[in-house]
Amino acid sequence: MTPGLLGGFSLVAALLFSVIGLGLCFFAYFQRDGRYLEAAKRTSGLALLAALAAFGALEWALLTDDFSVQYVALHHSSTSPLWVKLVTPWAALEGSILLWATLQTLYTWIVSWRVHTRGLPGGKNGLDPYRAPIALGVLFTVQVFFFAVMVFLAHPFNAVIPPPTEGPGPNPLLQNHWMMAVHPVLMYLGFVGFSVPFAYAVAAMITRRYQSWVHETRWWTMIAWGFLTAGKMAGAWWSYEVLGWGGYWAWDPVENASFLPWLLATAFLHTSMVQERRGLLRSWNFSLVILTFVATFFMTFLTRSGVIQSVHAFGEGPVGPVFLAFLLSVAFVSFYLLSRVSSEVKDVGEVRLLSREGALLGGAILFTVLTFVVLVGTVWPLVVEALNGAKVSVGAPFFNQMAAPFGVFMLLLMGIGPVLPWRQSKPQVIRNLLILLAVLLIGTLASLIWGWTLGVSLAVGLFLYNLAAVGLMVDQGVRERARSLGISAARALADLAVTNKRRFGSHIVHVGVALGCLAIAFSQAYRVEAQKTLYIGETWKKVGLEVRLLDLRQVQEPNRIATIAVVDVRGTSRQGLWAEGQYRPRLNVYPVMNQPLPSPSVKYTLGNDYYFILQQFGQDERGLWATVRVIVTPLVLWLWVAGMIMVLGTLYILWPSGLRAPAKAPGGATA
Amino acid sequence: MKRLWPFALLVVLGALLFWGLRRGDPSALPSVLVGKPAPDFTLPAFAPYRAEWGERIQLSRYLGQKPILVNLWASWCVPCRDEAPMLEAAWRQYKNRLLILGVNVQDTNPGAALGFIQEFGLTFPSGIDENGRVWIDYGGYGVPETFLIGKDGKVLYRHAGPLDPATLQELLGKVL
Amino acid sequence: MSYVAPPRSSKTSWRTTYAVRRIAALLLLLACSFPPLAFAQPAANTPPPDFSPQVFEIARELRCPVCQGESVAESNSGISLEMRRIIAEQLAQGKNKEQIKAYFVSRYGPWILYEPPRAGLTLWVWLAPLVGVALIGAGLYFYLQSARRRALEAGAAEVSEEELRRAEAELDQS
Repeated sequence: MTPGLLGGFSLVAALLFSVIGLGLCFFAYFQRDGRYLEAAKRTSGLALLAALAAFGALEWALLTDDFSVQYVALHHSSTSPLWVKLVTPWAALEGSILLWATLQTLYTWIVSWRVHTRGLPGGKNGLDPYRAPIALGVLFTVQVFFFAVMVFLAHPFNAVIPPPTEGPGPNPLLQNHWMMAVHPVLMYLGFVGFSVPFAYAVAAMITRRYQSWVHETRWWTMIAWGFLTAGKMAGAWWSYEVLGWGGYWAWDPVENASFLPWLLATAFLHTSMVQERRGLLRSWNFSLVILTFVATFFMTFLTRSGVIQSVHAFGEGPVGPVFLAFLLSVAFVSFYLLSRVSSEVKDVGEVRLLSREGALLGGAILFTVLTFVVLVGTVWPLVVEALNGAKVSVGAPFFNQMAAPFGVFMLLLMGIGPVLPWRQSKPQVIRNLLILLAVLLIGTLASLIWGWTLGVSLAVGLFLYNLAAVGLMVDQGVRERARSLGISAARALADLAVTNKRRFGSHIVHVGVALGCLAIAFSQAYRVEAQKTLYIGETWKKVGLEVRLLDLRQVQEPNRIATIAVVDVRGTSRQGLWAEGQYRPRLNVYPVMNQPLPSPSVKYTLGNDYYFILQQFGQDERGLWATVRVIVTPLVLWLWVAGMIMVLGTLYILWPSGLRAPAKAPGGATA
Repeated sequence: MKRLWPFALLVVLGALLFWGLRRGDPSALPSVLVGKPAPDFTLPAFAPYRAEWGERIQLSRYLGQKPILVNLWASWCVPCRDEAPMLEAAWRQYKNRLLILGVNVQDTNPGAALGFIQEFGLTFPSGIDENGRVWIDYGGYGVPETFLIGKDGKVLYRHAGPLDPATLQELLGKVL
Repeated sequence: MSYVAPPRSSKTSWRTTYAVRRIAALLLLLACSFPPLAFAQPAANTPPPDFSPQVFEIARELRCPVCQGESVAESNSGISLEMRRIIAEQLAQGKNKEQIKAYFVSRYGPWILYEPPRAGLTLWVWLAPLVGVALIGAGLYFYLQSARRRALEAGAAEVSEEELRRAEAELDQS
């Protein structure tokens, strides 16, 4: 048995099991027989096992340096460190599809366990034998697509004859930081997760049960959203640490494309509450879930087709047209299903502007408009080229200008929304709104007087405003509970934190978002960056720092040659004292890439981040020189903290007791 | 009709993306120089050419006499290795009717570039563009790139990427 | 002390797909046949001038021609290093941001600008948020109006979520 053989067999087996599972779902649906569904559940387990075997086979091939497997021969090197070998499966096209497909089988399998084969009256999983086969069938269809792509188009286990003795190793960018082990997996867990709400939505449209699916898939949407948020944060951090330009978000086409499902899912998380609570916005929610799922495929399509130039692209593969065809068919079929029932999902009811649902809908509109803008900006160069053959670029300066006002409106709504009651505004709410408005104004004005730019001042004001909003709501909830039950405030707070996880968790996530926006505003506005060539022993005074080049060393590592500048930094201002210490920025040269990759040396502090990059080096008559670029950016650390808060908030909502809580208290989002 | 617009949008988006898949190299960047006077450059010549062409090669000295084929190359560039013998053969054949000028772009070191010249026995002159300024002046976005400059000193055509014999013949056919 | 110089040359962007595998193979061959020597010290590796923050501000608005996915401020390809140097030199000559951007546009066309011109076909991309708000806003407005009308017609008998779910559960039973 060789890894290639095991992998090839497992892939075919996984494809077969997926096809069988799909067939069983068909039978279960048309025969209305739970036994077929029972069998389909088992099949999903077998498909998972087969996928895991295929994935394991790829790891096996990589760990044993089996260069007879083409994927290994093209993207692996026996000199790579162990962790690089372990993450190589998602360093290139074929392996990444395998990872995606494996995660899809995992999700399908978990879903199959939450599916009940008997109709349960209002059961906690609420799925009947008539809807469950459709949901499972949709997931099996997605699985069939991925495994068919691998078996017929992008086979990870193609053989190379004769096998080479050594390979080039994965893309050096991916070897530069351990975060690469985490970021893609988290992203994929998020993307794949959106297939579950989509599957339930399709089932809902076919069986004409328009309400319960929102509730059933809320948990899944949260999970996928949480993974995607974590994945994007990990990606931002990776780009900050690796790409060597001191930024965390570049508005690259693939970044944009992966932003689309996140934005749409965020919109859905908010408007689904309106449906849960009031039964409104049903076709809107269907559309959002469909678009979220389609957007994940749009993302993979862009990454894997080479249609648009991007640093993330795997290059033009043979899979582009197939992904496009699948994505379009999914969209066509789902919108057809929706249009078929559109007369039945018409809403009956009123949404007032100044109400919870009004604010939630407003937020959702913001998110969808931003989705639209990002999509248009991303594909516009293609449109222009198609129309008149000219080449244009739409990049960061454009998107930053678009995102800033969006951020302001979002933060405004985020503060107001949870304060407003459902249906219509009550008089006592006005007091709260006035308090919030005062906080916003005072915060912004004080920051302006302090000397910050208008954008930053607004961000500060909005941050305080959001903190105040959360504070007000927690305070009110606690007081009411303490009064009505006659318990202490601390006890009431603890009670609320346990019983109303959704509400509390959303506060946590919102605080994270506000903090993140603050960090982004500061780091964008007050970033200082300069560059100087230093000879050994030379000192450079800049941005409150005294930078001295102590030494320049060269190290031969198994997979690269590294040149390391040893830089000593002293602070000349009070703030600069934080930066003191030794920095060792490196320039790594990988044999496969004739362009050196800088590996920056960063010191995180609560205020500024100090970021040193070795840009160039050489030797002339005056001796060894190194060109050092220093970037001082405020509050970047808080962006990572904000990301963690957002993920922790999501986890808090999802924490097991939260699983049952919504079933007991459907209106969990009320204060 | 109201329900049809999502489908119409999908068709448009699908058509656009499909066109994007079929349009060939997405990184291709048409030259803005075509039809405009060729930017001048003065570059130090590689040692083997100094006797015949002087210490420095200046483009404007040769403009207006013969058509000129400017080829940007580097020793680290793999497709350049396929191109070099073809250019050399063309040079030997059309020497008196056409000037071929090589521009060595951002090479790792002059030694590597000299090795490349010797390996392929290149007799057409090449200058050293250490920093890549000429490359940038010509709007280069890769190596190799080939510019055809007419007798009037204007850029007639830019070919980005490796030449194949047919393309080279076609290019030469425009001016010979 | 012998120093291995940074290979300054840019990644051969050229049809990366077609080239990368061959390049990989070839470079490997190179690296094996003449170890570090293949990357010996380039004579022309001269130290760049000092860059003020403005250099990077301008570079961030220009697209790297070779890597195409990164701005000139981000990219570490040889061409970006040189373009940053050109920006620094021109700033030292007293040129302003617009003049420097025009210098690159005259060589690469408007493609090099990450901020598309507010004219012609790219004007529409600037109008995208307005179009988006108008489309989504108007659509939702009319939709909600009709939902409200239906609610009034139905006599304010709005169905609560619990009722709906109970009804669906009953349907499933039957």
